[in-house]
Amino acid sequence: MTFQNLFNTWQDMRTFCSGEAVFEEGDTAEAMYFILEGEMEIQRRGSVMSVEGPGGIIGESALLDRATHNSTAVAQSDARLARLDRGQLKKLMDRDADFALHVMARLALRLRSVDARIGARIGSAGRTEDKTDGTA
Amino acid sequence: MGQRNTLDLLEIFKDNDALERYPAGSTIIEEGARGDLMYVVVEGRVRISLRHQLLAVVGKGDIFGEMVLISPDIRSATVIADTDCKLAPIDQASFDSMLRHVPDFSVHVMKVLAERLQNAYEMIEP
Repeated sequence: MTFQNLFNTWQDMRTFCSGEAVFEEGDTAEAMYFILEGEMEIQRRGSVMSVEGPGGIIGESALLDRATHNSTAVAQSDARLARLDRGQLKKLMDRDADFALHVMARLALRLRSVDARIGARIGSAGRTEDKTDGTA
Repeated sequence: MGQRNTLDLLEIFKDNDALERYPAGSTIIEEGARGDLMYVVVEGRVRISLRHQLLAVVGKGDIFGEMVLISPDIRSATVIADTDCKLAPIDQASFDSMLRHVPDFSVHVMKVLAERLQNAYEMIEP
């Protein structure tokens, strides 16, 4: 897997057994996790938002100022994760632009899939914002 | 719903000579369209929406449209000028160069994505 070598000598490794939660909705978000092995299910209010495998990043709420996890991450298999705080992530991303682009892309994919769900949910029914008089 | 900036993009782009102007009400990005630019708001404010549902209001110094440069695909949302706007376009080459040379830029973009994701999760309440 790409970028795994970045974590060859990483100190803060965490392992989780299948079914174990890494963090839960409402927990203080102190760190993000880069998935090295295993699958993590991201849940919100009990419903599955996405499944992230190796190369994925979870716990991105830790980047925000009001840092509370707004989802729960549960291991779907035995998993090995590298734990990164904000400063560590910043350091890695500033040092390695390809890694930066990779983690952004993984997050963007999740955002696209959530946007698609929102779009499907709204459907053609809920026109809550009327378009202003501009060009379409 | 502004982004808390770790990086002052306004400072970098305010004197840019390629600024684009959009009058209030005009469409800057249309959901489903192809595109290859992201933008920094230099003046004014824009509204990001999905099927007419407002997702975010983005103002001075903030970015939008970054998704196509990160994971090439069609535009995932519509962006309309809320006021008269001046925008600095960023193409793929400039984006890649900023990732490599502007400290904090990648974390800044990542934060924007994390914030959008957070807002999106809040919108899918069962």
